[in-house]
Amino acid sequence: MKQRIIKSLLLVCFCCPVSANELLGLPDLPVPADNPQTQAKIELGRLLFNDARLSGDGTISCASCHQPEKAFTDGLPVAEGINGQKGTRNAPTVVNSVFYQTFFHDGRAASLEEQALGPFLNPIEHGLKDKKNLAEIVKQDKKYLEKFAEIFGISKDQITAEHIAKAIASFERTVINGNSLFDQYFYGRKREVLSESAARGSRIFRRKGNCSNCHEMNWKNAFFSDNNFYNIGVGSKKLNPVLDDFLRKIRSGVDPEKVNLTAQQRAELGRFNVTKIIADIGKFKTPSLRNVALTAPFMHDGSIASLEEVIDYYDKGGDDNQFKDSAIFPLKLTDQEKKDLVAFLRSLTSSSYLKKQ
Amino acid sequence: MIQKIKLILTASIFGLTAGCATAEMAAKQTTPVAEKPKLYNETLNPRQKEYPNHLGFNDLHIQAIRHLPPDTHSVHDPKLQMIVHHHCKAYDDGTLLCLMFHNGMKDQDKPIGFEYIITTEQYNSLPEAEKRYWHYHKVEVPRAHATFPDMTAEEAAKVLPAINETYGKVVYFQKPDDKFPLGEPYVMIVQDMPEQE
Repeated sequence: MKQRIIKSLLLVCFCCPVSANELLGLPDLPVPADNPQTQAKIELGRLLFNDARLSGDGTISCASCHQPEKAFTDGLPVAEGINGQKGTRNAPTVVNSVFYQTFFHDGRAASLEEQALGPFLNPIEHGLKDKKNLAEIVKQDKKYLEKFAEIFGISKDQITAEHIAKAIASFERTVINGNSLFDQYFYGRKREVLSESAARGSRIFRRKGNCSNCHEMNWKNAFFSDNNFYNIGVGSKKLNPVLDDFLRKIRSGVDPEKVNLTAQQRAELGRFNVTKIIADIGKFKTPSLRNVALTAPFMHDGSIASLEEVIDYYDKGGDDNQFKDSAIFPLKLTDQEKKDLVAFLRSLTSSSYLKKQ
Repeated sequence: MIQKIKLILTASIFGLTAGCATAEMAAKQTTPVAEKPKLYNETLNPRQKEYPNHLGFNDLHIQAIRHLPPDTHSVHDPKLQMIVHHHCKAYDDGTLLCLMFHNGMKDQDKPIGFEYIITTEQYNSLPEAEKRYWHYHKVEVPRAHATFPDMTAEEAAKVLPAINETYGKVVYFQKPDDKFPLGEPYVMIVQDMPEQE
């Protein structure tokens, strides 16, 4: 079954730079039954992904924050949208996003299709008024009309934002890269390809560092994310000053949405914003670590600039807050162990990106 | 009757699954604040009861390598380095029973076997022919590079001496590559696994 899914995807995807070898180490590719991959839809998605007309002032495309030459990130701490407005969270890479079970740092979208629409309607990202506004822009382009007719069998009047989202999601499902040096070492059994330092780091990652508890790998593959949500302390400095007051109010029945918080403080509530479960305050989704050396700055708020600083952050046990996960405690790593961990993280860069460097 | 129950359960589960996306959308607008998440299926266990009164398997979390059979039985098989998570319940008679996870520990991850851990005294009472199935933790904990990921180094140092003086027998009912438990269960002879860094 796995082979069938992979082969069918590759067959329709000869236009994209994915070979079977490039999938080494990756999980099975999930494709929803109601949005099957076709070459034409993937190509349409690529066009839409790169089209800055799909924004309030015609300057922002998906690719503005998810730049292919930067491993589909923007290199900035937080995303920048129309009129130079800054968001509250770091733009995650699109690479391998197909393997997530939820989308956005707080997991508020259940599918790539649902996620794809979010930034279009966000007033500080693409800044479009509504879904209709998005569809209307697409309808102005004759070439798009032809493609929507060919792919979805629909007329101009029938084009909706959901069709646009399906095409973009189809394109994003082709942005997949495995086959890192670590994959070749571990799943390809070529022990010689990894440096001694990176190999040691891979063991620290799974043992003393406790990293693989959340950045999971298994017998068959490694996405390096368990698709779960944790409070590791990042962002607590912004939230701690108002947290007790916030808790007192919501426990007394005040609607959390009506408690006066800045946009940044509200963003730091994380998963709580989705579930309204107090224990979820400050939790964010475990990001995959594939190609992590290419996606600085790090963490959901882009507050940590380098891999070395990320290791230091975990080594000190994170920043404290009352909801911090109990498994985040000082690790007492040696300087050599820290270097080895960084070497290991750098070994997670896909070979296709190494060739470009 | 059994078929009927199965149908009701299946329908309930499908209903829950199908409603997930819709429920999440609604949650964004109307869900009241709650202190803790509901841990169990809300249709099958509406009152979130725990049986036994303390389900356990979270008394101790151990992770160890060399606990799954490699493909090649070679020291160069990286799969020997694969971590197996042991989630253990400590019993009053000094034994531990650990559920074994080769994937992770998320909601939908399934154990593929268990390790039964007994004290040295209990081990000594076993028939001689049985003893070959058991590994001595004082020897095997370092060989398996076992760690306690939920403990600090100081906390782990307090627990390790007690674990060292135990023996474990690993029984799998499913191979990690199989979707379902196929064939017969098997005993993993941990002490026979090749050494690993």
